[in-house]
Amino acid sequence: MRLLGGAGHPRSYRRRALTFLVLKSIVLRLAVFFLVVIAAGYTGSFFAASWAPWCIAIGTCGALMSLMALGAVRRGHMAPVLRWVFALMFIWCAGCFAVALAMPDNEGDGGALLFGFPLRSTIVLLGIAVVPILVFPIAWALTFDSAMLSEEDLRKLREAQAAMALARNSAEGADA
Amino acid sequence: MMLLLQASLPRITQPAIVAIALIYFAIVAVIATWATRKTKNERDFFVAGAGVGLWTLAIAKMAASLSGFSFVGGPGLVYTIGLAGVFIILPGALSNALGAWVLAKKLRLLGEARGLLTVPAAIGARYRSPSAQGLAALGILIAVIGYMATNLLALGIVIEAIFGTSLGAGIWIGTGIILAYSVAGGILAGIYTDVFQGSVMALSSLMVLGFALKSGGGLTNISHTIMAADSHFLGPWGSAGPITALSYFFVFSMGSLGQPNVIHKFYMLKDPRQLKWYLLLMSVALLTGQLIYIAIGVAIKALVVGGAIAPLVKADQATPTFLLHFAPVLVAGLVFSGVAAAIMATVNSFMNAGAAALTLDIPLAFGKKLSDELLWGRISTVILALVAAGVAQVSGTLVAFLGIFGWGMFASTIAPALAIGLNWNGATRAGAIASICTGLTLTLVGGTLGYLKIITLPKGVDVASLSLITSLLVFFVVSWLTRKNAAGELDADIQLVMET
Repeated sequence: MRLLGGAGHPRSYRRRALTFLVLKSIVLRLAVFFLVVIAAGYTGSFFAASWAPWCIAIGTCGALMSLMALGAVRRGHMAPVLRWVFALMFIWCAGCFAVALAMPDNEGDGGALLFGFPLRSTIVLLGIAVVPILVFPIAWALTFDSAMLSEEDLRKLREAQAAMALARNSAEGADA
Repeated sequence: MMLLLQASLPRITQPAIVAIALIYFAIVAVIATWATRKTKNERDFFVAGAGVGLWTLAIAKMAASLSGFSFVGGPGLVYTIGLAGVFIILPGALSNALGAWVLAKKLRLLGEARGLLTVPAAIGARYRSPSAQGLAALGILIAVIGYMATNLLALGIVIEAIFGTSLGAGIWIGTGIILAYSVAGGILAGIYTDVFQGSVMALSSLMVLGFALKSGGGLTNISHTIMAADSHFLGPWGSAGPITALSYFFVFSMGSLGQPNVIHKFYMLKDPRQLKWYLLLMSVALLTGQLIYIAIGVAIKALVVGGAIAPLVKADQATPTFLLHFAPVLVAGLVFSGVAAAIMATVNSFMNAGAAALTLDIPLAFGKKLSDELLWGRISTVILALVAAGVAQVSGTLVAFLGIFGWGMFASTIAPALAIGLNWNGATRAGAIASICTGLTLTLVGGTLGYLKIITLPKGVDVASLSLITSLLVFFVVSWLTRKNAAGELDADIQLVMET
């Protein structure tokens, strides 16, 4: 694939292809690992295990970030800023859940408030709703041209697809 | 999980509310008529001619994402189980981001490369497998009928409450209105009415937030009032416990990758480069539309425990009770129109997804292609709507069961094969088919056994969660076992899209 990286430079191609495979492989393994953690959580819930909510919370955060990272790996590369975004957002989201799960209940009369809401609930709301809604759209927009789809990428894709269609039509014409 | 308007609403037949509702329906009719004239072929009917701009896409996706549940069932759920009920909408920021990175660009480019019109067609193209396409379409078809029935019942209840009709008449009047523009203009009419409907929903949601905070004397006062009376309600897991809340979080974040009524709209974007601002617009639109969900649920709880109003007889009365007592009648009229808007936008999208499955995907699985897809698309839309309306009218509690497994079935049958498959060259046809079959079987069998009370799951665990996690793992395991086939099952043009 020319788009994968310099058909005229075999070494560069191999290096990039290898990076591509390694990065994808790591991200995929992480996704599978976190899905297994979620499954363990559901299994534990059948036995009322105290660790079951922890597994579902952390596993879901990990699976979400891994799958986002899987979608962001492209041509053997993931924008460095995105690696940080996904890693830190996993720590942030899972951390907020962990704090809420670890802290004692304190939502009765006189319980502590943060921004007008009970402390633990505010932490969870900040963790999985407020901060992600600020971080992800900005990260997506800032890296879109360089790491998702540039004008050049689109032009090359359309040219390659037109060439493939032409070759396919020629082959069909020859068969006929 | 998705209980939606199970109770009847109090009668709200007041001249101002009726007038606003009539104006709302008249505007929908004008937009639909305009869009219908532009519907010339099956591409217009199923993907709006792939000529939609970013703002239209974002608002229409928001409108299709939020059903009547967000406006009525959701606040009722929060009133009942506290903050645990919020976990259905809370993952919105994460699920939008997930959809953007995993699906948005790839589905849009795949649609362009292959001229795709449906979500199952993307699965068929990815694995070069009409069988996988047909099975995914079957899952969509089963789920669509259940989901439509639930929403048509909700629309019937809203029409009954506003216009004072009987429930049966409300269901058929509502079905007739949606059917009129869905049959004539397909998704093209649907998407432009969605823009209007989404705007009504966002506006009414913002206004309700203000009135909710005012009714309880501000957020801090609301919190203090509730915490003094109920020590669990405002805890992070509400009164339902962490497993319930976290199961919602899992299913509604990961499962969003399989909602055909929402992800199908990526095909419709005119310029894929516009996706750069998609996530920002979509996040703002969805956040705005969802404010009503938590605002009313929490405010009405504070008002009840504070003694301002009597406890609700049925949880679904939270929204109408709040609006009739604590909002001006014009706002109430706008919100009730917003409820109808949310339901209509969702039903239209499902009608189109179901019609596409019947007209395009399932015949292809049997090696057939219908001669006039536009005509058959319209016929299929009518058939599906009539079946769903019939189910809504006669099924009683079964309709709630249908709504519950509809969402879960979309998630477990579509998400693994499509979302992971488009991002992993190692995914195989066998893995896709196995995961789709797993999702179908577990959701249908598990859901039925649960409904009949033959099996009982632990508190907070539902069939949708178990089906989704199982089908995801089955997808990986079977793909790994059959990995030697992976390279041969991927066409060059599809690989090109996956690597772009």
